[in-house]
Amino acid sequence: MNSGIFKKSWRECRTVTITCALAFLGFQIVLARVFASMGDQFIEQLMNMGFARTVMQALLGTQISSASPEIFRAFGWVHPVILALAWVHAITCCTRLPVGEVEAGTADFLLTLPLSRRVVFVSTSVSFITSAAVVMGCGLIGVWLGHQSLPDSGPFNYGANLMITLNYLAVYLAVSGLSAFNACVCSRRGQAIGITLSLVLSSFFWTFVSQFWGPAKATPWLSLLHYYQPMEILRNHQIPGSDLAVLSLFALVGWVGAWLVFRSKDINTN
Amino acid sequence: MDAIVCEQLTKFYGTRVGIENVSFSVGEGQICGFLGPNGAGKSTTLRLLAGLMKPTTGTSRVLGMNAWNQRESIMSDVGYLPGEVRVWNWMTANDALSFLNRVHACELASSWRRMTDLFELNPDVRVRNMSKGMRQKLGLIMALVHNPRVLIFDEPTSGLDPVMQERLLSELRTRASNGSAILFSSHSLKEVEHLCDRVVMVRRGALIEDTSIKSLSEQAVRQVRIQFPREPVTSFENALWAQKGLEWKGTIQGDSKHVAAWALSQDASDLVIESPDLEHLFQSRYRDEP
Repeated sequence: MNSGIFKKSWRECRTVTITCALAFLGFQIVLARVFASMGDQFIEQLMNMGFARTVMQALLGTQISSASPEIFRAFGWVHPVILALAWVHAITCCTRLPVGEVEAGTADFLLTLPLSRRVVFVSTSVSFITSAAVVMGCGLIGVWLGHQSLPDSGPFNYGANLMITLNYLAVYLAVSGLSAFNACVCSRRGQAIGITLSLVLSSFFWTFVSQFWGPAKATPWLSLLHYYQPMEILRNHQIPGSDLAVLSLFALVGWVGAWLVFRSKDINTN
Repeated sequence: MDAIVCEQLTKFYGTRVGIENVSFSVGEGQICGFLGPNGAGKSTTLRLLAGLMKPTTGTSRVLGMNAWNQRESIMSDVGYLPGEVRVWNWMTANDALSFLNRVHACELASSWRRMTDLFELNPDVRVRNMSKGMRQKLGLIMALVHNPRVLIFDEPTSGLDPVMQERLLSELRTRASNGSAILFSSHSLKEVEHLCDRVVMVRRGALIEDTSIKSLSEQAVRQVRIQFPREPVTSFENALWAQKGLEWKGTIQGDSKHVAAWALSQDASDLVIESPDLEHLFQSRYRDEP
């Protein structure tokens, strides 16, 4: 681990990190207020509408019997905007090394410093993951602030929300592992971003259609988002151990694969 | 001791040859010019020595260590300047110093100040606002600041004005006299002629010349112009002459003392012997001429 590389990487992700963190925080507060302003009756009516119910089930990845406060608390964690923020951050940051540096022509300086590629890779990756933790942390604060701003909101469930944050971070790590791997095997950053984004959107789409399309119904486990279940956590208050394990394994495979390619990759900026 | 060694160094880009079986070495305290036309394999060789690429076959060694497998051990003693200097555009020279202090885990401020003064670089300008010349200066400073024992520079004077070029060349001479090994590619033959002890030339990925400037000078032709007061009694055979009245113009190869001695023996009233025409020699090598 090298503090110079860590600081440099942090500096380069600063703008996207602050933007995503503030957007995440703001969106959670706004969403809480929107749901509060809707009123219980409106929500009940929404649940009775077939299409709206299917969309909610598809986003939450679970069956809903009736309207409950958990649904709307969980919805704040699975809203497409919230998912998009994490993906944008993961893909933007984690495709920087090496393909982003090669494309910018800065890889020559970076990789002729008196540091091993392992140190460069680890320092950069730790910096990205730290910045992700900031985004997640702001999201959690947003949920808390949103909750506090509601009248009669009851006690805030710290445990369940921390578990959801952890689950969300695991999704982030899986996407970032995929991004890091693509950044190592692709020769253009745009290509790495495109491939990662396609896979992540396909994953989202698969979870969505698995609520009402036979082939997808039988294989929901193919999607990364199958292992992200905020609704279940809010219902059961249990750590989603197996989901975390699958996501962590996926992330690990991505990062280790990225490292194996990166350590022997020719750096050619010409 | 040889600080830089290439042994049968070969690099293929897919099926395209980058360089093939290139072998040469640069000793400590030596300045070696690396020449060749565009696409000859100069940058490939330098990048292999800087540990940025893995050779297909052969070995590149710097300070006795493998430039690919042991690069992290040698890079603290190596200063590398790429052909096109591109530094993170949010950085200022001051940011770069703070970054390098952390990377090298030592205080480089005094050396940095000396280098920024030498190259007259404003330390507060961001890279994105720098001209090509300023970026080149920053790249040079970043490559020189830790006083490396080996310098691998790809066209270091590119983008520098003549004053800065001279300062850089003088700095390189000083470093070489202090024992640094310097390998640099250049398209400026004058620069190579004035700075280097040795020249390595590549063409189409293969090494075609590895020789000293002195021996290269001996191969090069010189223009000779002699004005005689009257017709000379004997002729000088080892030259091709074009006579215009009593003015003889010709070319000789190698040592000029024999022609000077002959001209004096014939009471020449004026004698001009030009410096060896290395440019012509280089051009012929570039164009694959004998």
